[in-house]
Amino acid sequence: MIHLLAAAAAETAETEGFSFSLEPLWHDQGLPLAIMGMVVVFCALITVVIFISNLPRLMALIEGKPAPAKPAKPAAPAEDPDEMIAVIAAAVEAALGPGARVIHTQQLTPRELSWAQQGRFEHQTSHKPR
Amino acid sequence: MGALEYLGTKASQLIQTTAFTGLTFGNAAMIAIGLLFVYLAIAKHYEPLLLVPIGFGVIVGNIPPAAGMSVGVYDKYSVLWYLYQGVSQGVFPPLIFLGIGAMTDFSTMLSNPKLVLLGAAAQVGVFLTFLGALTLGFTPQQAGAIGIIGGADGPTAIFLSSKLAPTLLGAIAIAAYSYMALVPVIQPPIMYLLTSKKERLIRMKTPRQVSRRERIIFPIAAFLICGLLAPGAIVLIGMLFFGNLLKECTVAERLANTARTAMIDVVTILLGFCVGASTSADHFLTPQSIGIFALGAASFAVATAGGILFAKFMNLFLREKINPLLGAAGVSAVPDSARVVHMVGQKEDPTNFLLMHAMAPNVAGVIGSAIAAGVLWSQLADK
Repeated sequence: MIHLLAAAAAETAETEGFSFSLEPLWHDQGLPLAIMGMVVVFCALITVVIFISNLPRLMALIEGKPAPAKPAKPAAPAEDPDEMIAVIAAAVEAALGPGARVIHTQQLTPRELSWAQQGRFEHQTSHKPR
Repeated sequence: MGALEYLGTKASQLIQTTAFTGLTFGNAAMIAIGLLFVYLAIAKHYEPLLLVPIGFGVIVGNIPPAAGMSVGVYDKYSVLWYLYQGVSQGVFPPLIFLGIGAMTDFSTMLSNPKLVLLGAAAQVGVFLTFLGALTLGFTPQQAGAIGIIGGADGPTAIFLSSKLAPTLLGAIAIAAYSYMALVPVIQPPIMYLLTSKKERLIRMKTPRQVSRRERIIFPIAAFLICGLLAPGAIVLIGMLFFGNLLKECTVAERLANTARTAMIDVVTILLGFCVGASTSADHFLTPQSIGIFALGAASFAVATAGGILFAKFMNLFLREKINPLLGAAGVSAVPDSARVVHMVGQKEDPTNFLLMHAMAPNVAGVIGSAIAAGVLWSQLADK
């Protein structure tokens, strides 16, 4: 066993006992290589990120649609369609009885959704028309 | 009397032909380790698809050959030597990458591109370990092969060490695969250390739908980008994206199916077994192996920390914050590190599902570590 270890250590020259030295870091194949490597990895992946971010726009171009990013975004926070208002009105009537009227609808931002919604709900129920 | 003497000499000759005479303490210790691997795989279900072939390979590789017989991995023209060429010439790892590509779904990455950067940041583990190995007296080639353990990618580590430091291949492969199995143990403490409870609770937006055409264009374009920037990576990256194209184009379903099932299984069997068989005690039980194992653990830890800290750094500029736990998934042990991120996230908030989001930096990490390997190979290979 011992002679095997010795043979292996001799085979790989100066690695015996893990002598610690900062000296190899300053060689070309030390710090400069590490920094260059990190830069190449980031460059490649940042280019991939830029490409992916523009992929939807590229797709629209390929498919020949004129406005690329726009139709995707407004789709969600668009004005409530008539159908939606009818549903809301029906829900309001079911909850508060006839006589309740929907005066205004508005898309809530995510931040408004929890507290503001609760506040509005309490405000509305505080003066429920009988 | 003559007959008895004759039998005696025959018996001693017979004993000479058995492996008992050549069995060293090191061989016995390695056989015990092989048995432990097989036990862990069967009884504890630790990465059985890897540990069963590797474990049995270790047992096979540590039977000392009788004199004059060419049987081991290192005996030229033996059967095992031929099989081992797939490892030592770096043939198997790209084939594994083909299968991985045919399994990988890049759509979460496509829907949230900024998470890709976390996969790049985690590669800091590779390069810091490279520097650490240099200071300990390893040659630049050996240091590069050891550093790539931090890429947490078994095939990449094997590929690079077959090119740069073939003598360390067994130790590097075993270290890489052991730490990949230990990801659920290594990562969580670092994740807790570097993130606050508030950060761990951050929720991610549901990813958008990605069209089929986008998923087809991506592997081709991403290969062109990575291949042109880091030509050393084309073998691994090329196979990865080729496999992914086979999957996403849907017209080559048979090929994709073979790549991700039968083919990757065959190659995993051969790779695992040969790597195991290459760990014969005289090649494996060296002081260097201890250094490699220590540096490997450090590189996993540094890679995890690098990903998390970079996520926190990105949060300084982003309006829509990233859960910094996702940074840990930049360590490309697919899908283990993503699963660990999900588990840690769920411990804080059981309704927070991070798995899908974590897959984005996870697969980006695979690309990142392959590029890192390409850079190290192109700069360190003997010219």
